[in-house]
Amino acid sequence: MVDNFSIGLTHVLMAIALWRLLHRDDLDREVSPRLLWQQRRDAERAEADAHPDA
Amino acid sequence: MPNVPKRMPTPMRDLAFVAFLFAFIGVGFRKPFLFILCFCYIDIVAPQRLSYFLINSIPISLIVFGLAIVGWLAVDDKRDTRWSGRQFLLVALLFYCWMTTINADFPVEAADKWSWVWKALVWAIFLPLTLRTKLRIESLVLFMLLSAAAIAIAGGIKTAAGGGGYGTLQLLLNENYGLYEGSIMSAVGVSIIPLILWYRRHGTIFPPDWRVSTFCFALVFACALLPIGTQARTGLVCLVILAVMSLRAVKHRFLYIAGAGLLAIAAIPFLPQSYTERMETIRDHKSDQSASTRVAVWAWTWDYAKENPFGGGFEAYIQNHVRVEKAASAYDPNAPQNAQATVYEERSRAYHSSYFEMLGEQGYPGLALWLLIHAISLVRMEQLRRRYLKTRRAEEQWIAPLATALQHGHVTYMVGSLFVGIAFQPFIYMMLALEMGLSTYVRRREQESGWRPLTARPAQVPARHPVTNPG
Repeated sequence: MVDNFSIGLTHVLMAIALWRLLHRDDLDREVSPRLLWQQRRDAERAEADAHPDA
Repeated sequence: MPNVPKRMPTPMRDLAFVAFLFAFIGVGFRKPFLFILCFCYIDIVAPQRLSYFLINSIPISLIVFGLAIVGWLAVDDKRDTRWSGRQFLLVALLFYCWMTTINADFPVEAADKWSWVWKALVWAIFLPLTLRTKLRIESLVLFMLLSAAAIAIAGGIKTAAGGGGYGTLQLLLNENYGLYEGSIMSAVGVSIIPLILWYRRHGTIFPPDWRVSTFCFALVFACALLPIGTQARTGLVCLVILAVMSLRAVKHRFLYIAGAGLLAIAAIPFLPQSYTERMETIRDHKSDQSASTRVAVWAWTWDYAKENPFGGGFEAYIQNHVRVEKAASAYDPNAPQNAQATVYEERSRAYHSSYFEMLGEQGYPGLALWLLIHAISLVRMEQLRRRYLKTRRAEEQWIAPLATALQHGHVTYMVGSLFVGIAFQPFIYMMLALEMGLSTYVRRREQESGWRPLTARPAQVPARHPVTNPG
């Protein structure tokens, strides 16, 4: 009973993780929209810091 | 062996295992990296041993091993593949172990151990090459944790329900295979605690929310219960070491010390008496047979290495023959014979220490290589931790905590290794591979973009491309 619960819970989580991984493009290539957005935001911040009175 | 009735075959569970495995392999054909996760899963959980149907009759582990390597060779992008120095050391260790296996004192037994050791080493050499993205690193962590959790959760619940005992806590499988051995699982269980806590904060497959937190805390609790359930002294030592090391990682140290102290004191009344008695032998080891034998075997190994500096090959301990003097313990009416010092002889006792395992089986060169690999890993993790601790970039926040978690887990494992022969346990090689993968990932990332971690404000960071000196 306990064994089956333990195996069941972890395997269901692994199955969900697999399903999500299948739909993630950044598994093989790390240029996700989020990363691009972060890079853009970092650049904007750096620019704002470089010209504080602009 | 503990006298536990053999588990009856459960057809439903077997079918579920088969379905899960086939689905896992199936999705691998869509994304070959998933084969790699699949092999890690098979290596840790060993579903073919939990099953009585189909997958226990085909060499599923070898098939997925092949698929993973072929999938990487055929499909994966290898332009930005980088080698880590430790991979070359692992190749050297692999060749060295092969040499000692050929010249082993016990060729048959040595070949038997070699049959799984080479796979663990080759996997550790191969795995970092595939860890090219953050998501791959994260998914490997997740699958290692969930695979170990399959064993840890069952062990934790059984312990909490009062079903523990040295050698009697049944961890899903009624044989001492891989992580299913009590002492090994308690050491591994404790050493994954930092990784579980890292995942709770930095996971993206399961982004942080209350369900992830609940699962992670429950899993940490289960892992912390394992040393109690298996009554493995190693696990208790590991827990203490981890608790002390965590002081480096926590924000509110005094709160942490007070909380941990209270928790430890509150736990003592709930520990079974057999447990506290067994733990007391850590202090009074001379009157404990298991511990006295261990010390005698270590002394034998030390002398053996002097005569055989290049080791005796795998399983060289079989030839040992030690004479153990057991000190007298306090008089106990239930065991009056213990009140007197006794001498007994033991043959073919295992090393019960990874360090002596390496020394006896692989000699000084093997031990040195092995220590070097682990030492470099720990130092590299410390470097990464320091470099990224104060970064302000949102997408780099996960690096320092992961380096810290891996390092703490690794140190815990190495401390556990003092008392258990787990030098070639595949799990630690996966952790090593993760560390190498993280190092090469970060190095590539820094070099590719010319980025420096932002420890200062962006405007104060020096120019990305250093001006070449004209003179």
